[in-house]
Amino acid sequence: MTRSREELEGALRALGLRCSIEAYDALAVVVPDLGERLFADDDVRRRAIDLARRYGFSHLAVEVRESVSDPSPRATLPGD
Amino acid sequence: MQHSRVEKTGIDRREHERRLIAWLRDRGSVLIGFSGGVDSAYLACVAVEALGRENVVAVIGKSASYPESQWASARAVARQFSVPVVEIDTEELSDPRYAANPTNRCYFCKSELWSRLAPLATQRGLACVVDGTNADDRVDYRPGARAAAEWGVLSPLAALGFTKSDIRELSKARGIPTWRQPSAPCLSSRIPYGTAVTPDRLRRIEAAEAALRALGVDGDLRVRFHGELARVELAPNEIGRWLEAKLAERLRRAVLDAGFARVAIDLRGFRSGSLNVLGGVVRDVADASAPNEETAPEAPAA
Repeated sequence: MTRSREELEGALRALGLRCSIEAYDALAVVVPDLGERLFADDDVRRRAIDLARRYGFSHLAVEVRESVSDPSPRATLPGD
Repeated sequence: MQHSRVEKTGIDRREHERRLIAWLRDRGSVLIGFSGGVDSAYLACVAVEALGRENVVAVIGKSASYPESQWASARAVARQFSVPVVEIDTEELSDPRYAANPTNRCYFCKSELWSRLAPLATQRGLACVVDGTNADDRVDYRPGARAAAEWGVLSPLAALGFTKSDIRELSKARGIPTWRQPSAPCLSSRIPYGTAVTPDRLRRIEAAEAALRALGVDGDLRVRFHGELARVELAPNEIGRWLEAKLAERLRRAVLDAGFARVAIDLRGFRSGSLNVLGGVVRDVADASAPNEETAPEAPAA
């Protein structure tokens, strides 16, 4: 299976989930534009997980951020 | 696993326990590798009843990879059931083969543990060394099992076909508080293979998990280490509420205070052996941890 960060990001956006994706091997981290609470819905999570698997990610996590308007620069993972 | 799908009755389980007692009496005395987890706590309690406390020693191997909360639980069970306990410090983190965190890391940890316990059993005149491996564990990826075999460690629960479910039910019947305790493998299991295990990383993971417990996280919980990012795995039926704004912020703050720069909540939730999948050691399986499903039992060793 081909792993594609870009396609996963596009598919989530098509679902209405505005976000960017960071990929670390088989882990995809969703950085949502509008906060993590959209993913509190069971159905949204289920659909996002299905998409992640379709695009080659065994793990999908959503970053919990202080605030979407937080002006402080976001720390990065090694390799960013 | 077929054996865990066959529903057992209380009578079946009591028969299992009678066989365990007979097995222990055949040996006469045992030294138990005692983590204070569900399996070894049950084994220790039955062994004391079967053999008398003068013929049982339960040994806790302590190191930075052994959570403080687990140590407290082990001591509490031992006190409640009069299990004689010896505590030793193990040095697996000083072994560069362990600290490099290869996929067979558990082999080096267990080699250190059993190399300390086997001579102790001989010195105390105990017939054999036993551990709490159960029948379910035998199908998992467990490089530590090879170390146990090399040191002649016996696994009566596995040999007699005890599943995790059996052990929980029998523990409940005996009033052993660990019957409902989530499994708690060592803290190193939160660090992806190939990423070095260090005391500082283990301390951050332990602090984050303790803080989340203090916040009220219930059931299975793992803080997985990904550099500056902590990926939190919760029981699937807990994920939704922790993604609501107020609780999410409390969770985030707790994890940052433990020394991480970023926090993410895993959307599939807790998966036993999650990093085995991420590391390509085992294949991903069908989504067994979708929201609101029950979690699978955890593997106790890694």
